[in-house]
Amino acid sequence: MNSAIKDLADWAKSQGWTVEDDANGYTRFFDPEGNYITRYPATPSNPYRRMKDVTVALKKAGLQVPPPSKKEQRAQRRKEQKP
Amino acid sequence: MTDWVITTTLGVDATPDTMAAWEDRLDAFDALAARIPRLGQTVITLHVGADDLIKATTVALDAVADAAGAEPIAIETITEAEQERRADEPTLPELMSAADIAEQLGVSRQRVHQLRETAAFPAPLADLRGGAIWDAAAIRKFDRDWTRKPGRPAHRETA
Repeated sequence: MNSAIKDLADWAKSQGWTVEDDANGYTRFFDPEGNYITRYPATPSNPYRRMKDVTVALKKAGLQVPPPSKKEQRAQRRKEQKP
Repeated sequence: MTDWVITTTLGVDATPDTMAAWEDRLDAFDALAARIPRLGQTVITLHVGADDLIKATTVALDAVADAAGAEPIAIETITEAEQERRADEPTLPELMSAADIAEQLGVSRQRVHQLRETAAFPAPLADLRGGAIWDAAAIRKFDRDWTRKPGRPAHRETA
């Protein structure tokens, strides 16, 4: 699996989704009912853009994404305050 | 020149092989095909560099018609920055439990349950066996508007 997609794949799996790599190197996403949704290539031409497009597509298909926890928000604020 | 993201919605529930073929044909647009099973629809997202939104939309419509042989039932054109914002946006609101609300309001959990009985207190989004959960934004609004009356409630004379 492409490392760029790992966090999203791990989150989807935690929500009952199935994420698997096919023989051609694509990471394929299936919703909790087993419906195929979309795929992420092993070597996308623009990984950042493809990551955003896949995230939007998975959310449209029903993947729920919560806001950052208070702990994550604090960590983000600390990061932003660092010079 | 602006980078546009055009999402076309097709009123067909395409197979994975068909979607892969569409992506291959639209490779120049960095296309992504994805299903929305509950609606029986398939979306194709394309990236087009163009001077304005209308030109980008026209290019994408022609490309999808050629590649998929179908007219979209919906189309949306947004900037790449807006696509990034949508990708990063949570689908759920920030939630609060009774304990979180007690901390937010600076009161005890028992007081939170008393406040629930007042008309101004927000209704929970869900009332589960393990406890209710609220939209944090609604609780913060209540906190801003809440007129606190310190001390015990005034004693009422009983007959």
